[in-house]
Amino acid sequence: MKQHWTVFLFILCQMWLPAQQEAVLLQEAALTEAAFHQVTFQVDGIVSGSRWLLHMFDEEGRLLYDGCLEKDWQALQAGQAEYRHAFLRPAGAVKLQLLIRPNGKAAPRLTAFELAAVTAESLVLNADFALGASNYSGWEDRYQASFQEDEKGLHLLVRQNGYALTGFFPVQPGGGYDLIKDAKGWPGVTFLTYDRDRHFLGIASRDHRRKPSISMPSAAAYARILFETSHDHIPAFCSNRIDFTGLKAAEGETAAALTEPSPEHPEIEIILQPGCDPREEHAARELQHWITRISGKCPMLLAKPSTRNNLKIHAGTALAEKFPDDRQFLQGSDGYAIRKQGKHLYVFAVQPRGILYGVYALLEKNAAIIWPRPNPEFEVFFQAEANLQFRQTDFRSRPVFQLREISRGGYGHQNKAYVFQNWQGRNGLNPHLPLHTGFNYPVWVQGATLGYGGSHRSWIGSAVQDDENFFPLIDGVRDKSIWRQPCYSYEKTAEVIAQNIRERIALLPGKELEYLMSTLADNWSVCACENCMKPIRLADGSLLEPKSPYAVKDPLFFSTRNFQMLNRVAELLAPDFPKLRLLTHAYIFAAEPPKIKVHPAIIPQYAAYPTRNERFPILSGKGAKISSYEPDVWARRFREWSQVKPDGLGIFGYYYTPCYNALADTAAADYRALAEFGGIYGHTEGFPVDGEELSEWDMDAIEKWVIAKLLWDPKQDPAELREQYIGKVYGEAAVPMREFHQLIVKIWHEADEDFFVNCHSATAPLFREFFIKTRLVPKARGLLVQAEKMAREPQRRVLLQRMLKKFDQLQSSLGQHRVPVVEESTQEWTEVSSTHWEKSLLFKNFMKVSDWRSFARDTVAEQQTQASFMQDGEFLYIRVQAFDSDPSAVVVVPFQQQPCFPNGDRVELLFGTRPRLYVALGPNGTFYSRPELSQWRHQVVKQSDGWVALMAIPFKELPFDNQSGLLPMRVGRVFRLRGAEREESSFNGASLYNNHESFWANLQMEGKNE
Amino acid sequence: MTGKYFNLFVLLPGLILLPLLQGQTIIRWDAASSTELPDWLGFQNPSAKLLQKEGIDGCLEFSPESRMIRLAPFPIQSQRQYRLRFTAWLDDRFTVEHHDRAHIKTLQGLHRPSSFEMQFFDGNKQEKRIPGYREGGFLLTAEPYEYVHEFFAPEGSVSVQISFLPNGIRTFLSKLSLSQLPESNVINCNPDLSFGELNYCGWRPARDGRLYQLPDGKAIFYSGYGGMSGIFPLQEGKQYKAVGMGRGRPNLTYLNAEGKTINSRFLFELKSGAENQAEFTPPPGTSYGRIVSYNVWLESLKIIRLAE
Repeated sequence: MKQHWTVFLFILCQMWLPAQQEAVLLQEAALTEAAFHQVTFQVDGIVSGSRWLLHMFDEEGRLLYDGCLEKDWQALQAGQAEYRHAFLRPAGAVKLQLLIRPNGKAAPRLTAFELAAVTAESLVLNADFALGASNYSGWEDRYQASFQEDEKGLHLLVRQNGYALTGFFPVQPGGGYDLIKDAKGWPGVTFLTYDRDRHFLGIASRDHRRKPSISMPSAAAYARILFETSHDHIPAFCSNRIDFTGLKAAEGETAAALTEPSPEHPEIEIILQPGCDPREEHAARELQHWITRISGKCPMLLAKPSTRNNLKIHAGTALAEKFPDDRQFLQGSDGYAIRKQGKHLYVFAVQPRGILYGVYALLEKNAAIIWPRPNPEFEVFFQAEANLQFRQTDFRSRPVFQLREISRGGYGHQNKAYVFQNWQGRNGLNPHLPLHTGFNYPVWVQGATLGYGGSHRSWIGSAVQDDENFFPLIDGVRDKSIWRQPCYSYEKTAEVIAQNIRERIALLPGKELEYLMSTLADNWSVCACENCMKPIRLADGSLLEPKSPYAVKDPLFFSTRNFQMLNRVAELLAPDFPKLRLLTHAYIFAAEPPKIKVHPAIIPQYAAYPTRNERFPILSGKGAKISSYEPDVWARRFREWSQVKPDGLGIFGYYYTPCYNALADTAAADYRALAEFGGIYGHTEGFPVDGEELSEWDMDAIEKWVIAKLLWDPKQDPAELREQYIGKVYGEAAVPMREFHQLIVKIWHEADEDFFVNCHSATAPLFREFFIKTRLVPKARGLLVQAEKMAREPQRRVLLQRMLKKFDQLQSSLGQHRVPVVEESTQEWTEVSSTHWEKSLLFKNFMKVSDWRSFARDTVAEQQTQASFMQDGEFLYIRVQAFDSDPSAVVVVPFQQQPCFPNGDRVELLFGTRPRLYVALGPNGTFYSRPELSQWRHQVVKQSDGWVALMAIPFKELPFDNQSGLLPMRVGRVFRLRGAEREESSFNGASLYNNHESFWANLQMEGKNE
Repeated sequence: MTGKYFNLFVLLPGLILLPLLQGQTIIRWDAASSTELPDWLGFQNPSAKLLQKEGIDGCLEFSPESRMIRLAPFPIQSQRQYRLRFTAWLDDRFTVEHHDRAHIKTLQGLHRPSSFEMQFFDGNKQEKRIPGYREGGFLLTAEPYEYVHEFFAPEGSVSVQISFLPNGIRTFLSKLSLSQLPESNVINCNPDLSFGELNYCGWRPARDGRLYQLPDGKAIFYSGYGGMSGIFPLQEGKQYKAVGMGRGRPNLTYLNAEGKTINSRFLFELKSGAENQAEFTPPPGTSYGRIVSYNVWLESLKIIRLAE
């Protein structure tokens, strides 16, 4: 009987509740042209639990997404009759509706209503919280942040890992602003800028030494102020108190004119559910933005489909309910599905992040668009298409690896991290956002996972202060450095790590900690205390005996110790956090798979480092170079790890090297193997900042992009991905660039098997192997020159110019410098001021060489020197200008007609490595060479600002390298001889006697061996 | 030959050869008070002659044609530290006074100067040496200069034989002494670099590293990339302390009796003007240690044996 009643009630509820949840229109009113408005209304009746909504419509009656205010704080309270809600009118909104969503009973009755334009004196709405402690007008987007009242008054408190954003407020494009007096300015205050469609433009940095301290970008129409917490090792930074905020426009600042808005797209609109996750909103705005850029027309962002007969693109996780099969397919991943039903196109996922990836996939499949590099100048390449059509609209995808990241992107600064994350997110990656420095909102909305990571020792934290048993016993002493492994066998080590992890998880209520890592310190040091050195009992009853107190001699034993301790951490956490994954590096000694079972929660990140040759996949076993390791050590360990951890393994990758490469081929094979092993974590590190300075991105952006794409699906063919990149990025210059990249792939694979490449390789030997040894410099450079000439599109031309410049820079910084043929040099070399010297190869900005004083390598010498080189095919002509602040004080030995070492002020040159030619000239003409040159000519000219050494050395007496045809060269100068005033300098800051090959310049005589 | 000097108490012209007592001088010779070739040189040695020149109180000249002048062995005690001092100079332009690059070129093996080396023997006249390690130094001055070499007598050695190698350069010697250093808990040689920029006492720089004499007279050792100290004895399980001054991050390498590396460890970070120290206990199998440094400037680095 009781069961019948339950069923009846359930049916009643199903019928009744939806009807009750329908919002009831209470009032409608016209909006003015003003930016900010405030609704004030009074209600009576039973209101507790009911919610009010504000909806705003354009002239056509379309409900604008930005006109839907449906936030959690909009709840009617028992005993409160009057409510106020201030807001920013969205562009185009002309009408407002006040609605009530009643709480189960009749809607309350509206007794008073007023809609009035208001102003925000400090630009920010409700900047001083004057609307009251429960009124979050203008502060709708928050996490772990709320208004608090204390003896100092009402304020906003952001708790650890929380954030609070002001609402959007209008700004002048290019305008200058300052914070109002005494407003919170640092730390944890960030200025986010947006264009007229509220698309995120970037962070406007604040420099308090500058007036105005904040400059808006020229495309900015809106801004928001973000409040977060920061470095959590500083207690004062673990929360952020804001008493008020606000900006004032700088006086006299001329704002740029905002460009004309794009016309509305008549055939496309985007529909997004109000109140959705900020990441979904960000994804929808990205879609709107890129459709606008491609088509020149801006689709409306609506909260409900309009009545227009156009393409309606719906985006959101809630849509997955409509597609149960896809939902099932996507479960547990941040994949996406795209489906089309009539005029409705759905982009959905089961996780908000998936909407982002779905948006980008939809665009990439239907338009010639690519996001190849993080550099904002090259962040996108696309082909304008006014009539953009979505033809590929039925597909779905889930990533092979749950976690996909590129770490250490060089964007260390909190306010720059979003630049790299924009690129990662647009290419399917979900790297972790380190919460140690707070909740980085711009990075999170672009797809980053929330994460904590650190060494075992850092997780132990301050517990070491009272207990030295945590420290490892190394060489008989408890080593208290933070850069050591802890004592693994001390029972509190695992307990304290687990407890501190537990406390960190508690700091993220309502959100999932998707990335958690505890790992070994970056070295071999291990504890050799009595307990750590006890044999380890294995599952089969046998004992694993230590062979040495040093991990370098016995990685197996200490890896097993490491995972024994980590297993204990996982065991302590698993009962309370069954979904938690504990990542750790299988690295250094812990790269050796342990002899014990590893807890299912632990995800080892296998690091085949540093003795592996990155030119070959791990499992190939090829290219092993360092003899103290068994030849197939990395392949063996990888296979063994797959057996130890079939339920979750990762790769910690090192797919970068400072020269042209085809590393994506290696990464593809490794990631595929990882996928076959059931891996869940794909990774590489080491992509540098892609900014104004030339960088590795100007050499191998194509490989970096392909690697990013492979992290989503390693089964893709790198060659096909490269082809996509070439077509979309190089456009009209694709033909020579295809040949260029094919050349790189060819030389990469055809180099000797023994030729070793990894992330620590120096550029010089790589460039020498790939280009000089193969004599491909002219061909490779020629293709870049050809491509740059073919590029018509300005952005593309700049990109190719940078690539060419980087190639040239590499040649010269690695020592390859072209010495031009100057026909007039034969006659003019003795003329110090001959204009023909201006055609020569020039080395200037000589830098100080360390002696008993250590100087940074780039310390500019106080006494400057310039060295110029030109040639006529028979002689190398050299002019070294030694500027001297007091030429009368030069130190010389008496001049002789015979060779005599100028033991004092002098210029020195070294040529060749084997054999080597040494040449020195002093300011009074004293000359010296070893071995003695028979046919060189030289002279010295004194000038008011120093002296000049001139030399002509016949090619036949110069020790050119037989193989490359190059002439290795060093040039330096000694100013004075002894004491503190002595200054030795060289063209690159390295001592002439530091023989490392990277310090040599290699002169290539134009026309010789080319 | 070796035994001849044990327990002698003989005064020869210009030569004081003293009994081997702890912390005392073994030999002290000064050409100024010599009229004959010293006994330890070998009385019929044709490669050396005694000169009495104007302006010089007297000196020995080693013939440039001579490949090597071997001195008679001197008695020593195993595992003790000694100091050899001699005043010498060369008749050559490739010397530090005339050639600013003579020093670095010599270190880099680009020039073979006049030099000296040492060999150690046990009671059976078998050579005793730490594998891969040889004591010695170079002569590189045109003016009289006091060359000093501190060294550690290998285990089992009872005598040391010093040899000069003129390498085709007229080499002059005016004083020579050898003394045993008092027992000390500082066990490495020349820890304060107190003998000037030409007296390495086993310190071995790499690449462009070298000893520098500072304008204030102190010396500093720039290691270059991978420079080392001389080898010093260590015992497994005993406690030691390294105390250093300078700039950079020196490491300590443990070696076994065959001179092979057992392990290396980071010692400490040195910052200008501040002393730093680290205690350590050598692992099993350790017989020796050496400091290995990458671009480190050292003002001093002492290895101190701690009391039991």
